Amino acid sequence: MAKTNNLFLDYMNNILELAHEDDKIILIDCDLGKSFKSEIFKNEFPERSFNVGIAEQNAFSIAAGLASVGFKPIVQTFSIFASTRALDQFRNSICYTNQSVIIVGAKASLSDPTAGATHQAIDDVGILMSIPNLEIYSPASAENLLSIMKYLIDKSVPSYIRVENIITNKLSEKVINNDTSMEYFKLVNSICSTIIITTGSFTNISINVMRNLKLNFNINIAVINLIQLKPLDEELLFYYCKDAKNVIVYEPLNTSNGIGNKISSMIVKKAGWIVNFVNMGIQDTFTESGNLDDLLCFYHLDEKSLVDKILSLEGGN
Amino acid sequence: MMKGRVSILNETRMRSIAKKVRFDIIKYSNKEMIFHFGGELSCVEILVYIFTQKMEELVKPCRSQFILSKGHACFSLYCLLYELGYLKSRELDSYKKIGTRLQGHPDMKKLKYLDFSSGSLGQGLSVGVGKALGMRIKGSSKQVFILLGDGEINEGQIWEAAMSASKYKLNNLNAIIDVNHQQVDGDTEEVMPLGDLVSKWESFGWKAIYVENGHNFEELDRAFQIESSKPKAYIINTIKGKGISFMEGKKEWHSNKLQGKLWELAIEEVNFYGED
Repeated sequence: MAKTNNLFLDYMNNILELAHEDDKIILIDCDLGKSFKSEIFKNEFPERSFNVGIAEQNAFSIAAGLASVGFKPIVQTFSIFASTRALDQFRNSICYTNQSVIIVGAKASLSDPTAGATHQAIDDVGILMSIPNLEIYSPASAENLLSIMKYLIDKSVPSYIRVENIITNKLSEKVINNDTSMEYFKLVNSICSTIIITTGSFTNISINVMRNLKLNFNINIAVINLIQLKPLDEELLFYYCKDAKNVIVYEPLNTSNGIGNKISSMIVKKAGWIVNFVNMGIQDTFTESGNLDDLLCFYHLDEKSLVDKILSLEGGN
Repeated sequence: MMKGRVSILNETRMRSIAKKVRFDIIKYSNKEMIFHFGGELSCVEILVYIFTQKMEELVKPCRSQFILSKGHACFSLYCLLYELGYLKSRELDSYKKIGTRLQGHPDMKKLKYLDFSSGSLGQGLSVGVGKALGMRIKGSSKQVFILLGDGEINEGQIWEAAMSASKYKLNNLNAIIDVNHQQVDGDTEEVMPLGDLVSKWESFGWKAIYVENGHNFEELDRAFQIESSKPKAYIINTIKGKGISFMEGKKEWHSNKLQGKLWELAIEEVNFYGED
């Protein structure tokens, strides 16, 4: 359970708890341990904590080696480095050999808005979707993150968790709780003609939009927080969405190969499922430095853009 | 001349296996497929030595580990596994064919005798670091052996692994470099000069051990008796294509098809029924 207002403090305390029960858990850092509060783990389990410095490729293959002799390594770095710098190792050392390694990528999407494009992973999901054997997770809250970690430690598969600046509490107004796959939110128990499919930091924005539309426009929408991006539970997703008129994928990712792509191909596969489909995300451009609100506005991904889009789909009721 | 630790019996056995492996490499090489003859032949003695002197039975749990990081030379390893009784000869015919356990590059998921997969160069040493760390945590005294190519050590990741092995004082880690002096585009000296490998590895905190003739079992054995509290790098001088006169030192035999008259010439040269 998330106890503090500090995401990675809760995250690391959670790992510590898990590590007390499971002596196979190993932590590997690439000189970014500070971001993950790794010191807490290192003080408790110094013999199970390794830092290889700024050498992600080495870290990933080391993790694969450890897993091959029975351990459960967790490698920590930033999302952008996990998916690009160490992609060969991710694919060939970890996924091809199906090793039980958890890669945690912090600062996903625009979590570090002023750092600029080289530190803003909007392409990690698209890249990693193509790797077989790999499971991909995207928490929207501290609760999501903690339950994903516990789930993955037991599951023993190659996995990747992309962590944005997400809210530290539970997301409220949950209707159906599906801890590791997706969460479904709506304010009234009736069919919503517009559904937002979203993930990560955009889930909280979507829930704000949901409340705003109800309060100010008397429009009921639903929000689906996708926690597990790969494999995607298409049947469950279709169950939630099948009666919707409008489906908006609102993602902090490059639309060129993000969740929108997955959902649109799902729509095509489900012959007869007629929806207005809209994909809001980064339109195949590198991002840049800026204040987060300014950037979201610039990319037409702020609350107002989402509200306007829904109003236009709903016919301005 | 004083015989060292390698008893005459052991050396005879190893030389016999090496001859058979060279014979198998030629005999079972599919004439329509490309094989990495140069790199397969240069490491035969190294493989025979490690698997007969340093590794336990491959079906035993909790044993020493071997990673063929220069994965393109896997046919050599497959032939050795056959000679040691782990594979049948008909399986060597299945190499690179659909459904085979003997993939074009080692696949540990398909062939259980392999301790890791490889093919994308430069990753095996890091994997070895991981295994060595894990084995130490478990309190195991077993060793980890990784066979690297000399072209392979162009890859930056190798040096990342070298630094970390030294940091963690992995005295159960053994990096074996098959220095056959060639890579795809030519001599290593031309493509990317390696410099003094002994001093390079020593400067990374390793114990570097040079072997002048990597096809001599006595020299290999002397090298592997050296003890150190540091991770050990064996710089082993070999001949690319060793054993086939027209392949030795020739860059076109890094990878090629062996057919017709040349195949016949090769099989003559490695015929293991012949005299030593």
